[in-house]
Amino acid sequence: MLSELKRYPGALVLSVLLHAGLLAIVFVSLNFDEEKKLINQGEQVKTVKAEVIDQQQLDTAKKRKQAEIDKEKKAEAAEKKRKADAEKKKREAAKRKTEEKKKKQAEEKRKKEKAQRIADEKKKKEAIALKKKQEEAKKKAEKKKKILAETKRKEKEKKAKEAEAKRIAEEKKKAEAKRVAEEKNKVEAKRLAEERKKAEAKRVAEEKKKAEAEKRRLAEEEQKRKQAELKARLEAEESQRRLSSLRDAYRLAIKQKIERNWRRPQESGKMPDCEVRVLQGPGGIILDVAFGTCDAGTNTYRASIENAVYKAEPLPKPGDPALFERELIILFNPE
Amino acid sequence: MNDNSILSLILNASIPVQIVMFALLLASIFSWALVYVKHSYIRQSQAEAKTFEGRFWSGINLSDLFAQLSVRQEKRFGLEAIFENGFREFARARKAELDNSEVVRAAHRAMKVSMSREIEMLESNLSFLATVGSVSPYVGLFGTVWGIMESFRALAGVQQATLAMVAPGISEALIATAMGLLAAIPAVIAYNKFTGEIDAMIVRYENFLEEFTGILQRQAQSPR
Repeated sequence: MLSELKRYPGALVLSVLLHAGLLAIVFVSLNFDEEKKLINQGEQVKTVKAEVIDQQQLDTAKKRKQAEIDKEKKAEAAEKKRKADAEKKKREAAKRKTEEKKKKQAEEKRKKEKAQRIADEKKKKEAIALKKKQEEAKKKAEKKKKILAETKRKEKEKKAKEAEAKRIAEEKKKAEAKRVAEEKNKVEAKRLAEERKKAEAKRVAEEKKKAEAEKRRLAEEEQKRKQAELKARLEAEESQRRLSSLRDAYRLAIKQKIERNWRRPQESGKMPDCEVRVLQGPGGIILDVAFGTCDAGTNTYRASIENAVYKAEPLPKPGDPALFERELIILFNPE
Repeated sequence: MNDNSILSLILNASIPVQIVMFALLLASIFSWALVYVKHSYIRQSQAEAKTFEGRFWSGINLSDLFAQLSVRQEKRFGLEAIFENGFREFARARKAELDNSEVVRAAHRAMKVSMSREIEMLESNLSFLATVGSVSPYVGLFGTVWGIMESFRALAGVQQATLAMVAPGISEALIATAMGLLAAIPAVIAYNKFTGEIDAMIVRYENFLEEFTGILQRQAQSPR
């Protein structure tokens, strides 16, 4: 066994790999299941513990909570009351203070008004005198200002006129430049448009050409293919015809050879047509002879035919080895 | 005890059980390798017989066929070998001007010998598969019995025996039986398949031998 395995070393390696794979699959799948199980157990234990703790501490916790709530309520009420009292006191004190302030302010106002009145009268007299003086001075200054303004205006108008002229000239220049540029642009745009048109036309023409060439190529290919098919078919038919003619010739040759070797038996009874099955081996050796439909033939007649077949050995060869037939069926007729 | 994966079961088993399991693993590995080898050899023989029969019955002249075969360098087997030996013997006997029946008998004898050699090649080592198929369940069972025996003996000193004390040992022991069956089942299937195919091949060889003998007889009768 070992020698045979040595001739195919790959077989042993293949087998070992197969087993290793099988074992790996078994181990992996089993370990995986176990981990899952362990995790589930852990979770259950936790939940059970939590429940026990709750039940033990439930009552004390409730009581404690209630007491806390009551205390808080009481404290809140007291605080509220205290706050309200303090606020009231504050408000009263503030009221008193404001009333006192108001009284003081009213007295001060009265005193101030008296003093003001006296001062106002004095001021009025002084103001009238001052006004007169100021008006005179003003009139003088205005006259001066007017003269100055007049000269200034004249100068300004002059300057404005000059600037206007300058501006107009510049605008004219600019407009001219613009017009020239526009004309240039127009010409350029026209040129570009024409070029584009030309390119487009060229492209279309090329595409057309290409499409036509493609069409022509396809048509040519189609034609070629058709021709090739036709040729192949013709060739196939030709070879078929050749083979079938060869086969006919082969069968005829065998039949003729058998008939040539046939000797008419002496007691000439009925001699009908006979179907003979001949089994031949390589090189035309006859292996077996059997009779198909050969109803009225006598035994001697049959024996004569069999004899003829064996005498015809070796049977003629076919023109093409592909035509060799192991089992031949020959219709033998004595004429 | 929580960790009862198959790997740990095998590693924790007692030494005799481990030896049994190792032997079963080896048997399985070798039987699979043999299955592969035999399978490819039988396929090869079938393909060879088919192509050779096609050539033989194509109407080629027998001496041409023989010349073609003897030119080829590689080793011949199957139908080719039978044909070559038979025809060589036939040619030699004819040259020796032996009697016609004697010539055919000599060729027939040579072919018989060649055929039995071919059959031997086909059937070689097939008995190993049969052995693995029939014996490995018993070997596995032996491992199991041994393992169970040990686990029961461990119980002897205990006052209160529980199932938890026996169960790991038993499952450890049962792995040996599982391995035995795992080795045996493919081996038996392969053995049956191969014997069927080899029988078909033998019939094919015998048919060819008889037919070829008939042809040689005819040729011997024709003039030299």
